[in-house]
Amino acid sequence: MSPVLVGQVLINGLQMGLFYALLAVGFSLIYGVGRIIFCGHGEIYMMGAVLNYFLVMRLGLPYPLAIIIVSLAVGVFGLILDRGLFRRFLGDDFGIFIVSLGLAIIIQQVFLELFGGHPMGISTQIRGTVKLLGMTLSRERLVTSLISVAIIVALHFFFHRVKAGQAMRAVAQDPEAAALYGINKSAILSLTFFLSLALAAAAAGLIAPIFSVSTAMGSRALLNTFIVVTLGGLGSFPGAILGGLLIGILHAVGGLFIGEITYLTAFVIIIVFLVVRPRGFFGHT
Amino acid sequence: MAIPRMNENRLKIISISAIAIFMVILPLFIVTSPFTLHLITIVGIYTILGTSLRLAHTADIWFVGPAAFLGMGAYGVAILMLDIGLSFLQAVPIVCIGVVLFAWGFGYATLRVKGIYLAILSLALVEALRLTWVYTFDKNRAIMVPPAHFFGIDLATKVEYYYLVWAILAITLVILHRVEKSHIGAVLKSIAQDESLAMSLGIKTLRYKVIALCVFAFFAAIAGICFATYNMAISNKSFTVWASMLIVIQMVVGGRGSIWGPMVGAALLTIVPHLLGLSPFLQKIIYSSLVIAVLYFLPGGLTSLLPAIRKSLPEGIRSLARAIQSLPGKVKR
Repeated sequence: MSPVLVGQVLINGLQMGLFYALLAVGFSLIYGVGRIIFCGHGEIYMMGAVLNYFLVMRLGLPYPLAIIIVSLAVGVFGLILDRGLFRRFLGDDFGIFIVSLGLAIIIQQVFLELFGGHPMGISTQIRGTVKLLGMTLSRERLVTSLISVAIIVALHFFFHRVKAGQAMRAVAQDPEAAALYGINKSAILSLTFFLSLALAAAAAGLIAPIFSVSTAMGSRALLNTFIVVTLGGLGSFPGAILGGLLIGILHAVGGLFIGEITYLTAFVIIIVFLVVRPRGFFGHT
Repeated sequence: MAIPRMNENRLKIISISAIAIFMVILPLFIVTSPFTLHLITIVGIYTILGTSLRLAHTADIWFVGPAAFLGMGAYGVAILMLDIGLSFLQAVPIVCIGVVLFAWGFGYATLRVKGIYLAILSLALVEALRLTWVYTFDKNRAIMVPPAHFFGIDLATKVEYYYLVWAILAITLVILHRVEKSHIGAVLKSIAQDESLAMSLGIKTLRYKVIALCVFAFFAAIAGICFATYNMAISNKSFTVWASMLIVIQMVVGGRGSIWGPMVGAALLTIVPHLLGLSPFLQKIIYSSLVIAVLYFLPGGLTSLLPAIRKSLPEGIRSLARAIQSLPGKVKR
């Protein structure tokens, strides 16, 4: 086992972790702000990936433009879901859980019917490789990873420097106190839905060229999101990032050493972890 | 003439015995198509799972992974009968005890966790167990299971399984009703309302939650045994996270507030999409739209209509009686 191979695997893991983190941040946000367990998150991710495939490969749009269009469109879809469906169920946590599951089935079936179940690949115009410390990294992967890092940094800036982001954190921490300070909780929840779903679609668009896309990828993405947010602590931004990176590395390293059983290990770890530390790394009671 | 008031209890007894008689004669006279009978048997198995899961949910335990214990029951009975060579009657108690013991340990370890965390934990359990089956016994092929046989009877036909499943379901309903009306049920409800208050009264809430989970695990194991021997083949695809979710969805759509809820939900969501004779795609769309629509208009599930029906039914019977009395012939006498 050469150090170069290990380094390469670690970098692959970090990369996967970045996308898991983007997904988990959105899921965590929706839960934090609206106490909504949004089980459609995995299917939204699938939706983003498949729509990106459609725009790039079928309609021939340039890849960056496709990502932006799809993210915005999926974000608007989130607004519609929020206003049309989830508003009715606010406060009924278990009801929301079930409704979002029903929604996930609908999205998955509609996309399966429209696009079929076979794997689809997206090719970008980014070619070539970069040599770094003896490791060979494809330029495509490097670019998409850097974009996701940029998104995470931008999110950090948004949550700490921009009024809307601060308001989001305030509502997540204490909805009543936030309302007392004149924060419009309803508008914040809509913004949260827009942002979370757009993030999921962006993550999907960024990962689509690296792994093949299929209409069946949603449920595994949802399970991974569950694991990541539990590790990091629901409602925590740094927790989601850390959890995502950890799970990404675990999958990559485990995939190298013990193969498929890694997935089983991840679930066992999460059970033990929840028993020992139910709030995750950064979750607050 | 005074019209006798229909006592609620008597109404209950009459309607339950009417349902029981209906279910007994159902395969003899009413349902002749084997496929419909198959669906009704499946509804029975789902209901055994759903009603017992509901007991845990009366304590607001967000356990959403019924397929875990269902799979343990199904694989347990298959392995004991095929690999170890036990007879059906020997395998059943061993499987039930094994699953309950597992649930007991799992419950003590995890039921301190609440809400969505427990939901995620139970889904992780489902997926972990499913992968265990894949890597050990299953290897992604279907396992053939011999049919159930006891006391010299081989259960082979659909009608026989129908009676077996619905008889077990009847016993399940009676037991769960008794448990719910006992002090255990009262404690479970108090946990749902305010767990720390219950603890401050000296109730060991964790113990009661574990009891609820164990009761559920027992019936889930029974349902798993029925499922495996009825289908005569099992594969890990029957015990996924989605399979779990279907049971939970049925329970919520039927209504968690009533013991009949899971049955109503299972019947509606299993039979309606099939009866319409649509393509699998439209079936799934109708299934999920039904779920969303029911919860949109009736957040408490379908059985939240029951109190209104119960109130209006004796009313209706009385007004019917009044109408008969006021018929012209009678008045003239």
